[in-house]
Amino acid sequence: MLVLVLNSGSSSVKYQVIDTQAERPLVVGGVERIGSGGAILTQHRIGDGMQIKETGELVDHVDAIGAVLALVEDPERGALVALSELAAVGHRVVHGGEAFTESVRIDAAVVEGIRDCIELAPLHNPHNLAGIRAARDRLPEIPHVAVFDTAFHSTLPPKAFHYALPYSLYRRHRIRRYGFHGTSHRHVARRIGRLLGGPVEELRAISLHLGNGASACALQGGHSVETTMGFTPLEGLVMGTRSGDVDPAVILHVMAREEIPVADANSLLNKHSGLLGLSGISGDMRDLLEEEGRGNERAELALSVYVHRIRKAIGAYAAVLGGVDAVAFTGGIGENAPSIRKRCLEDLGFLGIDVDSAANDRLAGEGEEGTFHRGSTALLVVASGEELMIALEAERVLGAIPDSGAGVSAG
Amino acid sequence: MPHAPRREIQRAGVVGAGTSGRGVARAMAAAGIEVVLVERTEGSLERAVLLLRESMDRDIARWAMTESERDAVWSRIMGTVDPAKLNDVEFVVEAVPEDFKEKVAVLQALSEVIPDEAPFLLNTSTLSVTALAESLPERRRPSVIGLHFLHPVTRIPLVELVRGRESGEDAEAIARNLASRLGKQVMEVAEYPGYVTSRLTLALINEAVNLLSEGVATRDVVDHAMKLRLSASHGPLALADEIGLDSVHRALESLWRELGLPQFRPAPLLRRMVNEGWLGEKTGRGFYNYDESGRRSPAELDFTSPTLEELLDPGAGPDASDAD
Repeated sequence: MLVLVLNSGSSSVKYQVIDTQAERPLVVGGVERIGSGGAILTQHRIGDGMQIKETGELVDHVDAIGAVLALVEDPERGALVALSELAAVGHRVVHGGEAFTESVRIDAAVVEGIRDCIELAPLHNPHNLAGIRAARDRLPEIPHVAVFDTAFHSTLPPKAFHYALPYSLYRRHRIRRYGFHGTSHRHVARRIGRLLGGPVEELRAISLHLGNGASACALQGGHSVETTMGFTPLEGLVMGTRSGDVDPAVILHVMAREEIPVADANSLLNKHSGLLGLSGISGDMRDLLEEEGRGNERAELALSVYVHRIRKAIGAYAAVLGGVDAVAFTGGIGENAPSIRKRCLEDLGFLGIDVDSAANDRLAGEGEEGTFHRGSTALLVVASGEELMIALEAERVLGAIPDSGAGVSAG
Repeated sequence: MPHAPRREIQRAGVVGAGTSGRGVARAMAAAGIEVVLVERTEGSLERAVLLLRESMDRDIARWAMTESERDAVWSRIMGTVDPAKLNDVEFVVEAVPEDFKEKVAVLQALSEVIPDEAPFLLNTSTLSVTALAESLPERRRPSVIGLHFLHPVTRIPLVELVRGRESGEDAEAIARNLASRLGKQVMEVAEYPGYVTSRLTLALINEAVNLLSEGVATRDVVDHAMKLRLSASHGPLALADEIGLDSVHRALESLWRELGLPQFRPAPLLRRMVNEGWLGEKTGRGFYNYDESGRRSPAELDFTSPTLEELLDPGAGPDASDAD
């Protein structure tokens, strides 16, 4: 089945046309700078490596998706498929709240439901919706499917998703932990099954998505039972520019002492913290590893806090799961930084974790996948596959195959 | 209720690059709108550009924005002294000083260059939108509406919307669309000098200055008391410094003239400070002192010392002849 996968941001649209049988994209592309005069459309065709870059004026998502579709169906430069061959459009939607525990086919009620979640994700859901609206306008005959970042974590038990705050806040403002990166963790769960080749019903696994954002997820039989992100993607691990866990009293104290308003405190935590804030150098792992190599103490400090936080999550999730059978890394850092993986896993022999250094070092490139353990606990690198997962989810929702979801039937 | 246009706002003009004009331009650019910022002279434009840059750098240091956000804002603001550059904007926010004659002159000049259908959003708090609209030819009047931004524009999530007698639906739709794009709540108020926020704020500031000159309390007592009383981030004197004492003074005079209420008669000390060129944050000296980056100098809070000596040179009391 051919699925067009769309990820619509505030001024960008990323897309792929994916063949779900072959589990690979035909084209990968995106539009940036929508609405600012010089919009840029780029596309990479996998088959022959053809690269395209165009600039032009695209005032909104309607324009942008129009341009994407025109390029995709272009007989020479496109995906070499007709739009009529697309069986579905899969849309990434950041927040599904408690209403959406599964991917769903989009209709008016679903649009309304996504709109209802804007309050929970004011920076994302409106743009996801703009993309949905534009794509449905242009491709009304094709089924559209919404795949939510939060849905995979709908299996979190109440003891994991509640904050110890007045219960009325949960009722009144839906304050609870939702978790994010769900599509990525779902993909990891599925790939663990494939790569290890055994049954996953009893498998206790920890998925570590380490990219610009970072989160850990405890997987029991392929289902999420705990994750580090919470009400927003700010909770949990140290990220590029996000703080992760902080004593909430710190924020109140800093706001009072520095006389900063809510919006600026938000910016402080989301854009000026994490690796960037702590190192004062960069939020980019590559820069920090390089600086650390030169003996920069702040880079070393930032990385040590980053790694320490991940190790705490591994320990905690081993307890949550009652043991651990597999630890999987994905995301830009998870896939490309063997030295970080190694540090996260050092001296964890008591969990059956033992790194095969040579195998670990070999797993360091785009799309590389494999295992690198010597101990009883499997250690894996999984190539990022959120877009593929969205396509597979679209296929599953449309009933083409019964279950490609949480990896329960895999292997 | 008029319908908002389907397409998002792309390109708008701001006329006047003073404190509020800069604030509006920056807020719009941050929301992704291309802004043509018009100032009268090259010199004042240059200064405005510098101040805009400084205010953003200050915000980066205060974690309120990132360098790439600043660069994005920067890339969307085109400063010019040529009003003809407004020939393709969707609307113009007027932000020239709060002076009737000055605003009329600007409106008349602009109506020659900007597209006929493009509304004028008047950023005024004390002048009559209807009277300003009447300075324009009849066909142009429906496109005039009041949209009062509060200083600092990037921080205060509120605008006052004021319909003049002839303000039309298209103008209102654009004004509401802009407000929502900038994340501002729209408070609709009747056309009456000072509306809600300026009338209450100016009365508070003016009385705070009077208290100070009457020796009832020190600057820090006045500000802290009212901060605590109103659960506010600023006391009235710090707020006056932030707005600019010249703007406060001008607005007070306008309300005093329009409403004739005694609470708006500018406090003599305020007038004195304006005459001295102590205009608040922007000159580094007002009720407080400010360092080069606009931060309040970290002097120990003082709840005891006499006040006038602290504010004015020894012996230089308020000029009695100023008291109307």
